[in-house]
Amino acid sequence: MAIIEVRGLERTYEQGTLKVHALRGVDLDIEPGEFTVLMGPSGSGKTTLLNQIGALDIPDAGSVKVEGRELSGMKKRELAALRRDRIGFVFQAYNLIPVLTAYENAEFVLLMQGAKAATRKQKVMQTLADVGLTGMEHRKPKELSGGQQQRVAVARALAGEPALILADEPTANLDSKTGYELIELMKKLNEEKGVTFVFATHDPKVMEHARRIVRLVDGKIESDERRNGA
Amino acid sequence: MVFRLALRNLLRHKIRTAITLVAIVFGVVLMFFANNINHGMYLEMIRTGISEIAGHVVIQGAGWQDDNDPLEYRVTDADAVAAAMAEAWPEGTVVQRSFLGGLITSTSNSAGVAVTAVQPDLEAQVSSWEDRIVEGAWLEPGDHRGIILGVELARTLDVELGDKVVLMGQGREDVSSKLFRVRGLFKTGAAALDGAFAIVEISAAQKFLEDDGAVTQVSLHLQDPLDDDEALAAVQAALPDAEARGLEVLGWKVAVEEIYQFTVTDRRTNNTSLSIIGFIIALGILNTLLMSVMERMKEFGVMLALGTPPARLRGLIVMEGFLIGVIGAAIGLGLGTWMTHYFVNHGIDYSEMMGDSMDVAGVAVSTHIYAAWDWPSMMAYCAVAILLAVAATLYPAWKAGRLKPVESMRHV
Repeated sequence: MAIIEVRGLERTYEQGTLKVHALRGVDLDIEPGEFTVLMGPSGSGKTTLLNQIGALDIPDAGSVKVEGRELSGMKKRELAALRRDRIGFVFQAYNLIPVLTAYENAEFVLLMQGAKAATRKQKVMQTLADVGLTGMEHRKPKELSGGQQQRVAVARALAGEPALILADEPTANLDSKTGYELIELMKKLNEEKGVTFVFATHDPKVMEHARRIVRLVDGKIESDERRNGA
Repeated sequence: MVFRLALRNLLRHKIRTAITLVAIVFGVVLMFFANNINHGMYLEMIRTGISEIAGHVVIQGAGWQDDNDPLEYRVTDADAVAAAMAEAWPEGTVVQRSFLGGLITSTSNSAGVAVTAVQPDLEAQVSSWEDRIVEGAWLEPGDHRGIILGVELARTLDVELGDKVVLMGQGREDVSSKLFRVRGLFKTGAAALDGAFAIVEISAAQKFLEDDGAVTQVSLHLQDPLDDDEALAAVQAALPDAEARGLEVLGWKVAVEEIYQFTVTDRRTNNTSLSIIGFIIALGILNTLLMSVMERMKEFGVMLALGTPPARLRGLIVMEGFLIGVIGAAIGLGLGTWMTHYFVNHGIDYSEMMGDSMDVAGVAVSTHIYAAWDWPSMMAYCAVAILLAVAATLYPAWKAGRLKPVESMRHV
């Protein structure tokens, strides 16, 4: 069963008197363990599609299923629980909570899940080690570089053991070397832990690692390419 | 986590948090100061009123309260009533008094005068009259020829210690007059009392009114004023036939009703003023808390995106208000208690502006006003400060709970 099933998805925004058709009938299936990149120019609908899959926005038409659960019709509380338990997010601007340390940021989702203290500690230390931040647990976001902050964001996304991680332009604010390292890291986590990754990006470095590249243009899927050996 | 996050958010903008705290602390301390000084003044008024013109429990002729006619409304068998009262509440002090008026005349002048007749030894135990003697001496028991005059009245009459004065007024049968010698002069600082008030021994009043054994009032003075309701019930039980004998048994709130009502009304007026000041301070607190929450909408959007339930997010914001309220109220309580302690011991001296005393419903209340502890109000002000701080976060908390993560994360 596909972990994500998108059918006939449409989303229109109003900008003043102008209607912007961000998604125009998108169909997409993503299998568990895939490392998928949504590519396309600005305004092509990548982020909008990611937001729909991540239960952060409501479509005008069509359906999204995550692990077989239809999102439309779910209550706010149920959507929040789905995001908390099954989906991890990595944002372009890191979006760490500035008053919390690296450890506490990574712990945040686990706390929301109600995990016990010992479990939290074990998982947070493990994920921080996985992303190469051992020894930086007590640093606040402003004491970390951009790359380190994004690693904390990845650790936060991973710590709750989600089935799916959605990453919106995760390398856009990083220099090319740091961006490359981050993608390598996520690829490694994908292979070792089997977590499904979906990226929205137009960064060629990310594309190099993708096993599947979905190209979006004007809110429609233009091509869907699966690659071997990436 | 909610507590830890709330505390760290408060520490994020230390100056802004400090300003909010100062507003809360200032508000609490101001409330303490204004309330406790007024409370001290009210207690002094009531205490003086009870000790000098009434008692905690009072027995008098039914009707005296509305029409102060000592010939019409009186306790005829005063000693028996006093004995019954003393038996009903042995821990208290029972005194007898008569209140009369007339014209007082010396060899050189005359003036209208209000006279209180007292039992000198017992009166000295319950009121401050003896302490106010500035010349001469307090009356001796049985001294039916002695009189104590206010200093201004003595000046009007142009009399000194030992001089003779004659009191004239209505007796039970006819116009009455009686000769007195000035034994002492008192000074309260209140012109109305110093210029038109005199004190005589109770037997002198009975002779003057031609009414042996009768007095205007028999009153019970308690060691612990908090026993008032119990003492009133005990006295009422000891004199079940009071009404049939033309007597009324009153608690102090009725006996010094004018003073009591003044304190109630004045407290209400002050509370209204304090509420307005509190409201203005609350607006300032609301403004700073609102600013601190509204600028973090993006952060809240992220938290919602990560799966934080809206109710938990609201709880976090309300917790910030609660924390700042509790910290502010605690500091305010500390400072306010310290300040109250100072004014309880040293008071504020208004005598340069208002003289030594002010006349409130016929009693001289000192213008050196001491604060008094009013813990129920102090606790209430602290609770109000916390509630206001929490209330200030309700709107932003409600708004944050309704955020759409995608839209709020676009906030810069």
